Amino acid sequence: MITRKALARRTFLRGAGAAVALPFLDSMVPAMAKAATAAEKPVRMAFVYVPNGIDMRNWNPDYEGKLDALPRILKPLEKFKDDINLLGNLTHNAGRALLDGAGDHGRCCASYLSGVQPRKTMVDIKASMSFDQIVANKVGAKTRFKSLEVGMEDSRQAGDCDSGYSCAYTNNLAWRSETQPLPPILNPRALFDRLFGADAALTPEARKRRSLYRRSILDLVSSDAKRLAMDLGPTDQRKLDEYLTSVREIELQIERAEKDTTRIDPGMEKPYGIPADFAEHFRLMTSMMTVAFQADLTRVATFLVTHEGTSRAYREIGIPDGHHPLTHHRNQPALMEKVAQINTYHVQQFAGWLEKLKSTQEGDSNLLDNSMIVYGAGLSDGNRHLHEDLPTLIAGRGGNKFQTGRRIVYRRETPMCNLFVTMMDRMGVPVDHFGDSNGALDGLDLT
Amino acid sequence: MQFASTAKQATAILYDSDFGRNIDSVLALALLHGFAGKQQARVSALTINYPCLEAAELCDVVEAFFRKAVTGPAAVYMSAPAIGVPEPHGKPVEAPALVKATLAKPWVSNVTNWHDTAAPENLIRNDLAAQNDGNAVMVMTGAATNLSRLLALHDTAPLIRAKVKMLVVAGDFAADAAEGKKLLADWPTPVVFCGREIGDALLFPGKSIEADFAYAPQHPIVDAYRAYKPMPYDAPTCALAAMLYAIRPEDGYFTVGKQGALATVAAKHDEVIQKFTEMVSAKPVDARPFRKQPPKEEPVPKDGKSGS
Repeated sequence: MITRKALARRTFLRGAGAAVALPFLDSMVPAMAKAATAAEKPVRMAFVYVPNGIDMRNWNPDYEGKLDALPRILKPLEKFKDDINLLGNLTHNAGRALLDGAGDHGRCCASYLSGVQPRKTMVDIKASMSFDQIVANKVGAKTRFKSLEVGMEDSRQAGDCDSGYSCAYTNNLAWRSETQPLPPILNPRALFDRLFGADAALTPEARKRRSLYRRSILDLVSSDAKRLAMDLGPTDQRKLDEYLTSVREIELQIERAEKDTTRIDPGMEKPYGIPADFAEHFRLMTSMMTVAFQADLTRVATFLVTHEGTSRAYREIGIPDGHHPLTHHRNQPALMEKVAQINTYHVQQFAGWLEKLKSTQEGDSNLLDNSMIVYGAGLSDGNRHLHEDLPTLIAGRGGNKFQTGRRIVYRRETPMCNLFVTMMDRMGVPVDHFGDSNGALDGLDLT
Repeated sequence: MQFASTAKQATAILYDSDFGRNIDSVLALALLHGFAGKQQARVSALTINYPCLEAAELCDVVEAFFRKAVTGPAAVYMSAPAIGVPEPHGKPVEAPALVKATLAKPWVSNVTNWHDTAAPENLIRNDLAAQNDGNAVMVMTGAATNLSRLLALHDTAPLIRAKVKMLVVAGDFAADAAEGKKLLADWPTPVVFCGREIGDALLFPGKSIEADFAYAPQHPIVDAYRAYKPMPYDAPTCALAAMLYAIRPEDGYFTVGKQGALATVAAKHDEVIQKFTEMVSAKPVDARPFRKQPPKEEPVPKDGKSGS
C-alpha cells in the first residue's frame, strides 16, 4: 500500500515577507504517476556557437563509432564522452560564396540556423526565420519565454562587419523573421532581469500590478501604431507589422507572467555588469540558462559565445593576438597552436556548463539527458573559410530519444539542415523540409 | 572591401557518368581537364551513377593527377573536391575490370571510405547553386539515377532551369530505360543526344596513348587505356563527343537535329580526332593560382633622381 503524500508542484519556502518557489522535486510526483511523468519532461534545445572555425586537426578523431580517446580540443569533455555525439561532414552550402564573393564570416553566421544564404548588404538585411524560432513558436507557448538569445560580445546591429555584410549577420544567431534578427543579451544583469524580473523582490500582487501598468502602455503604443499604418507605404507597413508583432509578444509574455504568480528562485545573487573575465562571464550566462531550463522558463536557447569574425584577444590564457587574425595562420605552427589553445579554452567553458546540466536532477534523470545542446561553428577551417565538415557535437539525449557516446561521420556535402530537421522532430515540431535539407540524419536514434 | 570578379567564367561542366565501366567515360574526363587547362571549361562536379567506391577512387586519382594535387596521407585536410557516387542499398556493384586493373598500379586516392564521397544529388545541387545563370552544362553517360534523384530534391527544378544551359546525354538509357524516359520528361532544360553511332564513327587512336603521354612516367589515363583491352586498339568516343559538344557547341564539330540528336560533320572528322588526342593528352596545368611577380626595382640613376 502506498501511503506517502505527494508534495504540491507549487510549494513555497515561506519566511517573513518572502516566498520562494522550489524546483521540480521527486516528492512532487505521486509514486504511481512517476512512470507517466518521466515521459512528459520537456525537451530543451540550445546552440552554443563559437566563431572563426576550429583547428580541425585537433577536433576530429581518426575513428568512427564509440567515442574513445578524444582529440586535444575535446579533451575537456572526457568525462562527458557518454553524453555527446560527435558529428562529421555536415555542410552548410548557404554559407559558401555562391557568387557573392568575400564575406564568409557574415554568411556562415547568418546561415547557421536560418539555413539560407543571407543577402549581401549593410542596409536591407535579409535571411530567413531560423529553425530555433520555428521550434520556439511552437513549444514557446508553454513557457514564459519563447526563447533566449544570449551572447558575450559586441552586438552592434548596423555597419559593415565583413566585406559588405551587415553586423546584423555576424552578431546574431536567431532570426525571428527574414528581416528581423534577435540580438543576444550580453549583460548578465540584463539576462537576470529578463529571466527573473527586475521585480523579483516584489510580491506576486505587486508584480501583477506592475504588469497591468506595462500592458496599458503597450496598448497605447499599439493603438498609435495602427493609426500610423494607414499613412505608410508597403515597406514601412511591413516594418510596422513586425514591430506590432514584437509588442504583441511582450503582451503575451506579460499575460503568462500574470498567470505565473510564483517567483523563480534563481539560486544565485543578482550579477552586476559584464565580468571582465571570459570564464566568469561564460559561467554566469550558462548558470542562468541552466536555471531557465530547470524552471521551464524556456526550452529554446542560442548562445553566440563571441561574434563571428571576432578579433578578441585571450590574454587570460596568455594569447594577446586577435582570434580572427590567428585563424588565418597560413599553416604556421606557432599560430595554429594558439588557435588550438583558444578552441580548447572554449570547450573547457562548455564542459563547465555540461557539468551543471548533468548535476541538475530532474525526476529520475538530469537536465542534460532531457536536452539537446549543440556546440559548433559555422566554419571548419578558419584559415581557408571552409563550410564543409563543420565542427558539430550534440550533447544530451533529447529526453532519451537518442543514443550518445558516438562519433558519426556522414557523407560529404550532407546538409547541416538535416540535423535541424532531426532536432525539430525530437522537439515535437516535425517538418518535411528546412533550408537545403533532404531528410533526417541517420544515427541520431536509440538503435 | 573585396568584390567578386566580374569576368565571365568558363562554362562549368558537371559530369555524371558511368566512370570506369568503359574507357570512353575515362577519356572524357581527361578531355574535360584538357579544356580546363586552357581556361575553356571548368571541371565543376564529378559524379558516378553506379554504387562503386572503387570507381570513385579511380575518379579521384584522375582528378588529382590533372589538378596536380597532393594525394593520400600527405593531402592537405579536405583539399580534394568531393566525388559523388550513390551509396549501395544492399550489395555494392563490383568494380569493373578497368577500375581494378588501374588501381592495382601504385596510385594513391583520397577516397578510402563512403564518407569520403558525397551523395551525387547533394553535390550537384550545391555546385549548381554556385554557378552563374545559364553557365553550366550537364553531361551524362550511363544511367539516369543521379539526375532523377537530383530532380526529386526540394525545389531543385527552378535551380536547374536557371543554371543549366543544356543536358548532353551520351549513349542511351539501356541500363534503366524507364528512369531515363522519366528524366527526359521532367528535365527542365534543352536536351541534346549523342548516340553511340557517333562514338563508333570517331575512334580514339590507340597510337596516341603510345606517343602523346611521354611527359609523365606514370599516367592514369594510359594505365586505364591499357587495362581496358589488349593494346593496340582504337576506342569508341561517345562520351568524348558529348563532352566536346558540351564545351564547344559553337565550333561546328557536330550538327543538331530537330529532336536534339547530334550528327557528325564529315568535313570535321579529322579535326575532331585531332582535338580528342590533343586535349586528352594535354599536360596538366599547375593548379596554384597565378600570382603577380613583384615589380622589378627601377635602377636609380647615380644622381639620385628618378627616370621620370
